[in-house]
Formats: sequence, structure tokens, C-alpha cells
Amino acid sequence: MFRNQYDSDVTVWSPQGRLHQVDYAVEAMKQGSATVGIRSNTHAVLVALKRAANELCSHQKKIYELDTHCGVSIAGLLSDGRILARNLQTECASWRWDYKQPVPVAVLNERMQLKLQANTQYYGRRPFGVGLIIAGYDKDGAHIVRTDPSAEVAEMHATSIGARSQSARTYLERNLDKFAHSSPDELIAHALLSLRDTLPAEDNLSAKNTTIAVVGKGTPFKIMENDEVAPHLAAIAGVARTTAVAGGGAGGAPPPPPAPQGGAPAPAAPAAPAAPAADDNRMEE
Amino acid sequence: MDGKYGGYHTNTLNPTCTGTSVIAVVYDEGVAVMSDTVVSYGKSARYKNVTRQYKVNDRVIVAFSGDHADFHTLQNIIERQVSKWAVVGQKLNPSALYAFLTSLMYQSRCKMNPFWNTLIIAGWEDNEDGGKPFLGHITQKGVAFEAKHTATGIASHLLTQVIEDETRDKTALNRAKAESILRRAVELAIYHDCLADNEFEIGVVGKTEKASVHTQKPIIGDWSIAETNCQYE
Repeated sequence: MFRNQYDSDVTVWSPQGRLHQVDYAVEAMKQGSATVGIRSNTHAVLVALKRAANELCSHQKKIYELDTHCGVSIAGLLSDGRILARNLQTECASWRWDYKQPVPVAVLNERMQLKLQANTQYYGRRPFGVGLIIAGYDKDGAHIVRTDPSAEVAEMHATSIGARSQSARTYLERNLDKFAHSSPDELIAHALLSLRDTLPAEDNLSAKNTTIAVVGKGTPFKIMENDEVAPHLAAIAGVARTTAVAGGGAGGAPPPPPAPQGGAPAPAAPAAPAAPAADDNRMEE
Repeated sequence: MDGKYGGYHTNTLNPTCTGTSVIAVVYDEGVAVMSDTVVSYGKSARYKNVTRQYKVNDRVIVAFSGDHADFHTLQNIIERQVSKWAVVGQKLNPSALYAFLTSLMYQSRCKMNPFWNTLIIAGWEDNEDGGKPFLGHITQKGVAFEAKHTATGIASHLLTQVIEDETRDKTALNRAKAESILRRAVELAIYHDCLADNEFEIGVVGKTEKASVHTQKPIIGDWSIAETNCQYE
């Protein structure tokens, strides 16, 4: 069952110069629940929206600790993401064993980029259907790194991936100049506000469905869930939700209809200006 | 494999061309390392003007005593580490190299093929509080420690007490004072160590000084007391 004659394998080019299997993998990432990463000069913060398949089900883990100085948040096929998180954990441990010190985030970026790219080039493989946001703190300062299945790995000031994440990026772009000198708590507030913008009007962040992680100068990587999340949610409860903006779909506007599947996805562009994106469809993982 | 040793694999387990002691001292904003420049073949001074200090990058120096050939191998291994770090835009730092070489020396000795060197790693460790000096010592069996001052070979027996007396309970040394302690150490070394030479180098690496190795003026010393030694010709 193919959408066209050029997507039978990851190594097949389309006449338009696209690798359709890679594009489909990027779509898988865009259908995962949203996650946001922001950094200041001294700290990096991740927040993520957890999904539960039904009432009887626990929420899916979205953020993994890699080492004392870094962690990763996942959007897309969470089972693929776990493999990559485990791989990064191994890389962190191996560097510590060799040099008795934490691995520089740049090393993780390099390894992850090579691992992701190999799966877009060899017959019989498939790309990982996940995007990652790596948050870390090392000698070079705080880092936020975004990866996607097409093996694009980029250092970011702030970013978001997953379902309706364009709305979060719109928030991040509007507030970008505030991040560099923000305190960790302020960063968390900004991250939560941008994550909230990805939700339809009838939904809201709760202590159950939200995860927060922070790392930075003098702060080992720490994941917060449930009771620890509640005070941070309370801190932003008074801030009114942004009304719908172009491509946003949050706030008062009704949720946009699901976009047609398999449409040519917009080319990945880090921190690109807000554009009505085809990633606003909310599919379950 | 019916060779001289009956088919057993053998490793070289003794040094050939060697260097004698290295002495290093930490001062307030850096580290100074002294080594002479003679290569001995047994007791004979076989080659002169050969350095025993390897500048790894602008914040790490590795100095060694022991076998020169083994150190060339180590130099090659260190160079590959520098490249490995460079491809990800990182600069090899002294404590990482110290940890790496400690494991390497221990692994080699466990394979019954030790590097016949004692290594001194001197450097400036960058950190978010402005950095600090680093001085590490690794033996040929992989025993390693960090210290405020250290010496290898015969100087570790003869001179560590002298340096301890000079540094203990004193206000922090500066570079000039550290170098003068090292010069005094050279003088004592040439009196007592028949493999030591009076032509020597001092390597310096610090907060403001990028790592560099400087050839020093030879020290003659005072040999008048030698006339009272009945074995002196």
C-alpha cells in the first residue's frame, strides 16, 4: 500500500528530489504530543505534554534523563524514542568511563546526527519516527538541540516539536528576547505557556499530563512530575490564553480540521517564521 | 613460531633510551614543569638537546621520564585524542587527558606490556569560575594522583622534601618563585643524579600563559665541595 510510486523504500528518490519515506517519518514526529525546549545563558528547560491512551492507562513517559547534566524529550513514536534515549545514555556513560567527566553536548549531537542519517541512506532500513529535544549544560553553557528523522540536528535558542507545535513556536518567537536572562522558573513559565498554546480550547495543562525538566549551572538534570509540576502550573494559571494567531489554532478559535495525510510536508526549517503548517492534525500515537 | 622463546609471545620489558627525573610545581595561576634534555643509553649520555615535554594544546603539557620510544607511541595516541575532540569542536582538557592516560597505562600493564614511562600532566583547567591549575602524575603501572607539586624518578626520592619545604605554609607561589624552586631542584639533581644534565627546559601553562616550553640557561653549580670527596678525580 503506497501513496505513490516513489515511496517504496527509503533509498528511492522522487523526481522532485524528496525521499518520501523520510518525509513520512517526519510526519510521525509531527503527530506525537508536543514538547518544548528553551534555554537561557545558564539553564535549559524542557516541558512535554504526556498522552494516555485511555482512562485506565498511565501517561507515556516523554522525558528521559541521560546523565547528571543532560536529558532528552521525545515526540513521535515513543518506542523509537526510547531506543535513541538509551543510545544517548550509553554514549554519556561511555564518555564518563573514558574521561571521568560529563560528555560535551556537542559530542551527543554528532553521534545522534550520524545515527539518524544512516537510516535514511541504506536499503532495508527505516528512519526513526521521532524528533528529540536534547537539553544540556556543559563548559560551553546551556544547550537546546533539536533533531528530526531526516537527521537534521540543530542547536536552538528555543524550539518545539510535535502536534500543533507551530503554535508553541509562534509564542517562542514572540518572546525570544526574554529568554537569555530568564531565571529557571521564568524559563519554565515561558515553556509552559508556549506548550499550552498547542492545546485546543477545551483542553488544559494539568499536573498529570505535564512533565517539566530543568538543568543548568549548579542544577543537575531534574525531571518533575505530578505534585512537583503543580506549583509551576499554578504560576501561569493567571495568564490568559493567547487568542488564535495565524497557524496557531489555540485559544478561542475552533480546532482546525485535520490536515490531509501525506501531503507534502513543509521543509524542515529551524525557528522558521510562523506559517500555517500541515502539522496541526492531532493524531494519536 | 619455534623461535628463541619457544613460540611464546614476548614484550619488551625494559627501557632502552631513557630520560631521568621530571619536577613540576603548581603556582597561583598556573603550573611549571622542569625536565632536562639528555637521552641516556644506560649510564651513557647518548643524545643531547632532546625535549621530554610535549605540548598537547595551548592548555596542556605532558612531560615524561623513562623510555623515549614508548613516549613517542604515547604522543601518537595523544595526538589522535586531540583530533577526536577537535572534530566536535572541543579542546582536550588536562583532567580528561589525565583520566584517559591513567586507564591506558593501567590497561597496558595488565596486558604485561607496560609503557615504561612516568607521566606528568600539567595544564590549566577551564571552568565556570575562571579555571584552576591542574597537575597530575601517572606511573608506568597506572597508579595516578594529583598534587600541588610532584617529581618522578630519583628526584621523587631526593627532591620532594626540598620542594615541600619551599611550598608548605607559604603564601601562594607566583611563576617567578616556582621557576626559581625548579632551578634550585636542577642544581640538586645534577649533584646527586649521574643521569641528570645541566641543560634543561621549563614548560609553563597557566591562566594567562598559553602552554609553552622554554630552554633555560644551563646551571653550573658549585663543585668546590667535590674536592673533599676522596672518590672525585
